[in-house]
Amino acid sequence: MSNNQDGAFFYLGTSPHVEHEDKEAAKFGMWLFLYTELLLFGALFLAYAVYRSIYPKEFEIAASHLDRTVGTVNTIVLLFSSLTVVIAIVAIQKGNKMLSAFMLILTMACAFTFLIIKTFEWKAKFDSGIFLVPQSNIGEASAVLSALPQGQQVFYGLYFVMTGLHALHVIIGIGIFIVILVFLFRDIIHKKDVVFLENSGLYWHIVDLIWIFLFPLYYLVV
Amino acid sequence: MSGHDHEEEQNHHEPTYGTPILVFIGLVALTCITVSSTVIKLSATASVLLAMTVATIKATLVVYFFMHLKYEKKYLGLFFAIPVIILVIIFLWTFTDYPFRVYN
Repeated sequence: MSNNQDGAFFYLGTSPHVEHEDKEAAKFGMWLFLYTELLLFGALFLAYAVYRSIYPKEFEIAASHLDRTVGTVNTIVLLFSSLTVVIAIVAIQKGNKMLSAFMLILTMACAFTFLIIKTFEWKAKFDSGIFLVPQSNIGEASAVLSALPQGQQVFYGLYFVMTGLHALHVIIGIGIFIVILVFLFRDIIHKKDVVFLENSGLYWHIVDLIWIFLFPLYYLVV
Repeated sequence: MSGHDHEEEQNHHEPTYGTPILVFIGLVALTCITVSSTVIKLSATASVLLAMTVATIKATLVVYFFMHLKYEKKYLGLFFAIPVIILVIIFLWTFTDYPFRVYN
């Protein structure tokens, strides 16, 4: 798409090769990947919808045991981290590298906060005897969970799988932003070339997008 | 919300801090609306409808402004319709089946 218009390019020698870097294709590829993410989570949302239609009462009872305040705080944290990524992109486009780096660190801090809150939330459920995988020191399936009606068991199964898969995406997101931060300091990402940062931002927004739907379905619709 | 409506091509709009901050405030406001709406005891169907409508509006804001679809070339937006349509078809198809099954 764009040949390098910087004068710096020509210092690279007399090589006849022109380095083609198609930023638009890079972005398009990222969008394609995001579609597969949508379909991956879409299948889980479909499972949720089907089981909710089969066990409406049990889903309502089980969902009322989730902490709504915790869910709301996590929603705000994730929305804010989406904002900081956008600001990081705008900042680097305006040539403000330090602000961009600061915003990326803030994004990672938000991601950590989200995960810590999530950990406490899961821990509370584990302590009350609700878990999916047998704990190694006990070695048995959760007696509390097995005693619940089948609809509630399905609810907790979906809850752990969907929020767990989402949390995994948040962890991967932190890893991506560490790489991006290194790229930023090495000037691989700079004012004229922000496509790496933009693509990681797109990924982060999809993670946010999925939480936007997870949150009401698990914490609000009771 | 912003004055970029005349811009068609990507990269020609001047990136600003203002628009994303406004969108963020909107997203938080919408979150507050759904959370507070649970205080009013709506029927199950009504509360699902309300929550999903607000979530869809929030998702649209994220895709349009944060994910920059507003400023991208048209084909990316059209392309985005494909997974959405696939999901809608899958959901509709499934629900032509499951509600009519007899359990036990």
